[in-house]
Amino acid sequence: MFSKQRTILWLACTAMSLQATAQQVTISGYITDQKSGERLTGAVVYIPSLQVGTASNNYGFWSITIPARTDSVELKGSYAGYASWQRKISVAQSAEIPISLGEAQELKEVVISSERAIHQKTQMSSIDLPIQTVKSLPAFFGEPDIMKAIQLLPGIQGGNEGTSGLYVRGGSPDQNLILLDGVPVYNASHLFGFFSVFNADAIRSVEVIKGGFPARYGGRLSSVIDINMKEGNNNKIHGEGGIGVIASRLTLEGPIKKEKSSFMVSGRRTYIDVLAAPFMKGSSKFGYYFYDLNGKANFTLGKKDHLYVSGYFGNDKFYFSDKSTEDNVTSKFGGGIRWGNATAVARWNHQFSPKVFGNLTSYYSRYQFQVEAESGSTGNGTDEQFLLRFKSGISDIAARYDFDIIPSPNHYIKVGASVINHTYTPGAQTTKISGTSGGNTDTTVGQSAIFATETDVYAEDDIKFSERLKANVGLHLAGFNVRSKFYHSIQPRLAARYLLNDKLSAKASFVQMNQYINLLTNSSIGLPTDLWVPSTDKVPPQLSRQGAAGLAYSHDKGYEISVEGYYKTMENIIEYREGASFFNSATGWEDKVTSGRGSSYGGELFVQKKKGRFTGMMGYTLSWTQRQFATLNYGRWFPYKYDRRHDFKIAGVYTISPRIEISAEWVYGTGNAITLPVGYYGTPNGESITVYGDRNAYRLPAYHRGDVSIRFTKEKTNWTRSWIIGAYNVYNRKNPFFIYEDNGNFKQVSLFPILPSVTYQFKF
Amino acid sequence: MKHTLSIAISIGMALAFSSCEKTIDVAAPPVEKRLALFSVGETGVPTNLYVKSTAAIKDRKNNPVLDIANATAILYTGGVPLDTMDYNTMFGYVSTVPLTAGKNYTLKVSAPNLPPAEATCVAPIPVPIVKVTHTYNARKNMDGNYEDALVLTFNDPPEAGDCYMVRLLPPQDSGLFNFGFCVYAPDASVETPRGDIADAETCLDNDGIFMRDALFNGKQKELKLYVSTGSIAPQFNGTDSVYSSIELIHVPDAYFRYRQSRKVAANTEGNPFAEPANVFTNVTDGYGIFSIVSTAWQEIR
Repeated sequence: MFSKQRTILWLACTAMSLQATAQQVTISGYITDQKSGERLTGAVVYIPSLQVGTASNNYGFWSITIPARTDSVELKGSYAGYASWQRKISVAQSAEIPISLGEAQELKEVVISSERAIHQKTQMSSIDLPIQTVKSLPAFFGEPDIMKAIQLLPGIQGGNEGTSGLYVRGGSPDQNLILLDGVPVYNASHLFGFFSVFNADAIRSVEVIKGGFPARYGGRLSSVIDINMKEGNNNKIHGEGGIGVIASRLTLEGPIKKEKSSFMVSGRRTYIDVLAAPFMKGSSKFGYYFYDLNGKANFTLGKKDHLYVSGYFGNDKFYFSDKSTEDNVTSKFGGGIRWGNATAVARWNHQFSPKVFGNLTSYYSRYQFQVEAESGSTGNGTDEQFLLRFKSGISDIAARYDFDIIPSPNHYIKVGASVINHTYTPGAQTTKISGTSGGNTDTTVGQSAIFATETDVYAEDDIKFSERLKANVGLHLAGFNVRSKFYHSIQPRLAARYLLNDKLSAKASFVQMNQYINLLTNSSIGLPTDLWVPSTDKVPPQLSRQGAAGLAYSHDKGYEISVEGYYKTMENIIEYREGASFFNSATGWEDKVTSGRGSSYGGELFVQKKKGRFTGMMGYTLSWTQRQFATLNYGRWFPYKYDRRHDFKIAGVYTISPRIEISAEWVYGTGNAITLPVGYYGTPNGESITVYGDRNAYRLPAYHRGDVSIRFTKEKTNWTRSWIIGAYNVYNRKNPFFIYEDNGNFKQVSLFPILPSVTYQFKF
Repeated sequence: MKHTLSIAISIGMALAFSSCEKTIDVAAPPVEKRLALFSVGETGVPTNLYVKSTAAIKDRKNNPVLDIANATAILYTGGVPLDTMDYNTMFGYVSTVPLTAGKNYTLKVSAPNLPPAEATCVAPIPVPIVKVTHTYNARKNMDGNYEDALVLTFNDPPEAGDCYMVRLLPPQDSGLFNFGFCVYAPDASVETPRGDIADAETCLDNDGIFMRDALFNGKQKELKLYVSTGSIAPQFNGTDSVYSSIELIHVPDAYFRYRQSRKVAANTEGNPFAEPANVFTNVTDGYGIFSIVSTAWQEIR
């Protein structure tokens, strides 16, 4: 009797679950740009009648699981800058539906769909920076720069005048994970930081995350800057380029096989050396140049498979040489500094099912820096040659697998794992001597390479508890193995959003981040000589914990407003001890550094207008950032050099007509904190010893600057041309670069006066 | 046209890259004047002291006189006044009592209109040199030139925390006060002024090779140094050969840190991009250094 009841009960439950399963259908597909065929990241796909929707992933894939119905429903797709798409579809069974979006005809057609609006997103402390905004803003020497545009966001500061370093919520530049197509870039600066390595013409999207990091990111404490290259137009050959005051660039993209594969190639080079060449007298030569080369190709291998390969190569070179002849002996000397990055990545997408998407990535990334000096003399039977070379760098070989699993509209699960092999070369010095006088030498001394392996595993779920409450819950596990020392960490990640009404939400997040890599810099201007070194048995990993809370608001007229407060602690941060130098390659860098801790807290206000004839953004940050090291400042807390109490930025672009566009920006920041000489005394042998005040106790004068530009565009038959006239530091403010004491007087050195620029751009 | 454009662009770039300098008013925090004391004595002989005062940085342009001639300087040992030091225009404040190794000394100085300052030091015990060996042409350096090796042998006292300075001195009648060449000391005990470990190719000043006894406490130590061949060769003064010498100076930790920090501060002075470094002091409520050392030396044959 009992057994019969149990059997009936089991059968009833099975029937019910089968019934439930049978009632679910999944519609999925890819969302693309109609003109170029490029897949769109973060586009919204929505079924208004069922109140369900999703956003496409980094590869344009989307998936929605709903109960099966006999009647049709309206499916909508939208993305900023594109006209909305909609179609009535049958949801009686699962289906794959490709969505293709066309460009918006008028700016007011830009629609911020409810799922992608800032108040709807669970993610806080993040900003999608439209690449068109980057290209429209006034540019330093007419060169649109992604990193300079990122410096306009609240909570993010540039370092010294003109440099590309980023200090995010009190963190240092090494605490930013800068990704180009998923590959870390270790030195994102050209020309000592005045330009970044990213050519804006080659870039498709930029996302900046300052806090509330999802579990899929790890390895850095303070920010993730996720930059993706264009894929290339699938349908037609296109190109664009520019000729500026100091650099020119050209980008070409097009199909390899129409609608199946495409390519994108982009190059940029300066010509400071070419312009200076006519002024070189005699046999003396010196010069400087940098170049970037970006390349990408993508291949549709089938309905479910897609392959991307991309690479970046860039170098800076400063060189000098001289030659002279006297008494039949020719002498020469020369040398230079060279530094640069190289990345190469291959990614394979595979759609396992309508609900499961996988991406396998393997990459190589290298940063190298080299200083060289050589001399020689030949003649009268002698031949003497001397070469001294110093090299340092870092390289990675890695593989990772990421899965997107979308079982239902209430869950979006991401899981993945990665392995990275790091090779650090903190410094190696080569000396070569050869000559007729004997004593030939060819030696290399220096610290041998350090090998380390970093492994990461993560899982996160974006959970919709109700219409009002969503949360992203995740865990990131990391392991780091170096010199028989193994570090591991468990990093919780939590973010939540609660809708207060249909325009306003409250958000909060808490994250723990670990970092197994450090950047040693003994100057404040981010030189290429800065060394990347790993955590070791003597130098433990850096750790941060950050909590944030705030409000986010979206207005129908295209305004987005967010207010956030944050508190961040950092441990095991390192700095060179006083007086240490990079150029002693053989000795342990671990003995030259001191470790300490930091804290940063503050509030940020951000307003962004994304549609209409006027678009722009405004950000204000009020913050405090401090450091404490046992061996510095007598162990007392002191302000971080970039502790900027008030930071205000505003930037706007106004389209007067389809042919004329003006843009302007203004930035203001409290001066950097510096250590000042306050007194002196003499010694018995007549020397003078300076007495310095407390570390970073003095503030430089405030920094502020305005930039403007105007663009004149003319549409030709098959191409478009633009003249862009701009001025950096338009009111010629003498901002402090550094100050120094000279016989009791303090002198301020400023770097850039007003810098006008003219750039010619074309597009076809 | 091309040439004109090139010139125009180059001028524009020169304008663009030219920096601009101006004198500014800096509201530097007020600084109280303090005493700066300089006394480095040696065991077995009386010591002397120079007393100066500090000045605010903005006063540098007026070149004020910083020597203090009317201070009261008293040397104590074991808390008991030992000697009141008399002022002498050439040697500063001079004591008449020889310093004894192992004793604890305190120097207290006061001057009108300045807060008093004091410093304490324990006189280190003498550490004799056991032997010095000199090998000609012992190795070749990276440039292919020969270097001599010097091996200095001594016995470190059993107490931990001893510090040493090693110096090479030119012959007494040579007219030189110190040498100008590099000394190489591939020894894990030798520290550069920055505090990191010197390696085989680190050029060290010959008037200050620093060592702590952490790796050889209580043991016999052999310190190997390399100098370029011929740099410490005997010289002939007309009648005799005269020889260079090597000094082993047993110093307190405070003097060790003072000398290192002087070098570090000198290296960073004037570099606007380096973090400035204060010179170490063991003077309470003042600046400078009060130290006692014990020196042993031997000719290099």
